[in-house]
Amino acid sequence: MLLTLMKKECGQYLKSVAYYIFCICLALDFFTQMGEFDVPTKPEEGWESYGYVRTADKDLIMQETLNKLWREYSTGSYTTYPIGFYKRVQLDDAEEEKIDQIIANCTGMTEEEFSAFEEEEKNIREAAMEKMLEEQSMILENALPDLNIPIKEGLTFDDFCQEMKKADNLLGGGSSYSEANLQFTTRPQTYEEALEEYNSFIKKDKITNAYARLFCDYIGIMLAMLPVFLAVGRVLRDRRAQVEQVIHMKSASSFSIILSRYLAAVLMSLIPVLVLSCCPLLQCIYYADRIGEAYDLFAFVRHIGFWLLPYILITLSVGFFVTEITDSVAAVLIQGIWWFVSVFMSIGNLVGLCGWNLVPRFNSVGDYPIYEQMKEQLFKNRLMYTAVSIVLLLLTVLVYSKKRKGEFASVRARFVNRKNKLEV
Amino acid sequence: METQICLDGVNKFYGTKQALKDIDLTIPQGMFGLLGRNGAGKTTLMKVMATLLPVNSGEIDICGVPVTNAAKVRRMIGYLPQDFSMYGNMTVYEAMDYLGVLSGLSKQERRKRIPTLLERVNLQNNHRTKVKAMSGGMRRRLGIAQAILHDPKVLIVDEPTAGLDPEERVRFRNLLCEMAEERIVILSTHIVGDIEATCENIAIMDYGEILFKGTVMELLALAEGSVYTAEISKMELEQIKQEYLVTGQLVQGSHVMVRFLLREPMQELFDGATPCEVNVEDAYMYLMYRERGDASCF
Repeated sequence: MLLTLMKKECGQYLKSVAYYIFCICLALDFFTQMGEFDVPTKPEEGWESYGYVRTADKDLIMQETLNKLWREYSTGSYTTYPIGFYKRVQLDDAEEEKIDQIIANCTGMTEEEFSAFEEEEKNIREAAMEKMLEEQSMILENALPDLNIPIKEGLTFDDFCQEMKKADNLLGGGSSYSEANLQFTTRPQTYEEALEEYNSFIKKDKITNAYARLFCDYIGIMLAMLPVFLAVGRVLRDRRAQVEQVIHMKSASSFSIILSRYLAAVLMSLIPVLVLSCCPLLQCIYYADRIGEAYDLFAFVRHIGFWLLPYILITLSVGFFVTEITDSVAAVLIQGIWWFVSVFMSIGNLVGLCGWNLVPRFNSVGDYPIYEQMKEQLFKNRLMYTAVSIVLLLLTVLVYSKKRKGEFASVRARFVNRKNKLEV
Repeated sequence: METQICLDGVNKFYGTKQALKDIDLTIPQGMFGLLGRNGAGKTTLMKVMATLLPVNSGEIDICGVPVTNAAKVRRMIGYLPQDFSMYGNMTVYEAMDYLGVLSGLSKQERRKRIPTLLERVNLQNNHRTKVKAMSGGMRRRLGIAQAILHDPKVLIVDEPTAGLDPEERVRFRNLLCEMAEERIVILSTHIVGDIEATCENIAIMDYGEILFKGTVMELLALAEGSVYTAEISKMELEQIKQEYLVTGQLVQGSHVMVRFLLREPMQELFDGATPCEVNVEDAYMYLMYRERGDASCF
């Protein structure tokens, strides 16, 4: 019965406009975000730059962060991302005084030393700008040389973090000095490192795995939200079509009814994802063949299975459960808020962010060592969301079973009676 | 297994509002009519029998199975709700097939039974018609077909003829009578004509209570000797309405042919009033007046 019901549910999705909108949204996300198939090229000795590499070197983090604080303090303007959105912060005199104190605590400089440093930096930057003007090149802020602000001798990383926390609080959170942004920094990559990264991409990732991760990153953002519409639509459809009583009266168990609907929604959500994944997979296969390297034919399917499927499961479970309980579109709002918080919380770290976040990020082709570091947590994360979705699904069956016996109707009637009495 | 439904001391509350009050009823095989005005509690009674609502107290046995055993009871019951509909984008056959799966029928059973049932409800030429394109009458017929798809012992139909044109109504009533030959059919309605034309046993409900239970003949006997007709002038109509319970009036020029009930058994009559045969509507009105003392509906 379960399979037959599931087939019929799938058939209903194929007749639904909402389902095609879901597919179009996924396709749009894929084609606009994945963009062109840019393959990393093999590095050669003598290149001017080999790009940047992420590092957790505490001295470097302290130096880079303090340089940035000094720069922002000098201009009197700070950039923050409180809930993921850009915000320009300007502090009043008292607050600027506190930032000044923080810098002093981290550098150990006296007021005179501070002024001298300020003067020196100004001169260096002016000289660099003059040179650029002479060469008639564009004046780029990032191209100006950084003068490393001295760090107080004996300043521990923990003490530094405490000082930065104060600065972040003054700026209202979401600044470059928040705890999340003190985990790592970047530094220029050497030829050897660049070559090793390229070799990992070819040998360990077999090209396909690297692209599968990027695919999961982009499509995952959509799958953390879109399936909820399918779930809400399916549950409310019974009420709109006035078929609730007819279906409730049938002998099929609540478990079969809900599970068939759920599995059909899971399958129909997976199909466009699998279809879209064929595109980068074929590109990877073509590229691997061209350079005579091996590829992993099942990389995308495997990544979709363990990375993207839990998105679909949890989003549909939330949709089914909340809609069965509330008989409203509240699930869209709840999932929307959850999605918004998850996506924008990760904005500061787009490569390798995982934890227990609904939307783990890996917005990079390659970076195999970072993936190795996050892999275990990623598995735990996905497993946890799968478990939560199963629990929510079972709760949905329970709620549906009670609704079939009219137990929710009595609660609702009691509530309405009480409300009417209050109004009288 | 016994083929009857027994209700014993059934009470149902919606919050503090009592929808069913101490209902004791035995429903035998055949057509059973449940009559009452809107809001009398008929639909609630139907729903508690159909396992769609829990009772607060009392017991209900459907052919020997307590209604609390919902899974078993659902296999024995076919239900046509008052506002039956199906997913608009399904065809008649798809809707039947889907509901057949939910009723636990195998593919072979569905293939065999669906065309037969569609023919029985005269929808054999509409199996590809989408539900959203069906008329009210066609939908009711589809509703009855789905309700007996799994060949239930009990068929519960709630206000099935409301909104149907006269031809559809007659056809539908005949269909229900055919169904009742082999099962219990409970017909809930506020249309007296439906009961009169189809049911042998009836119950009349009001404010959640059973005011009458028995055969149609027993109901008619209640109003025996209390129904009269007379031809009066239009001028006298108001006075007659105040003295008697007028159930019908037909204007014929300057005269009116009235049909009325006596308010009391020994009430004095006027010249020209002649006794006539009682019909179910008269008996129903008489009962409602006697039990409730409410003449507002006359």
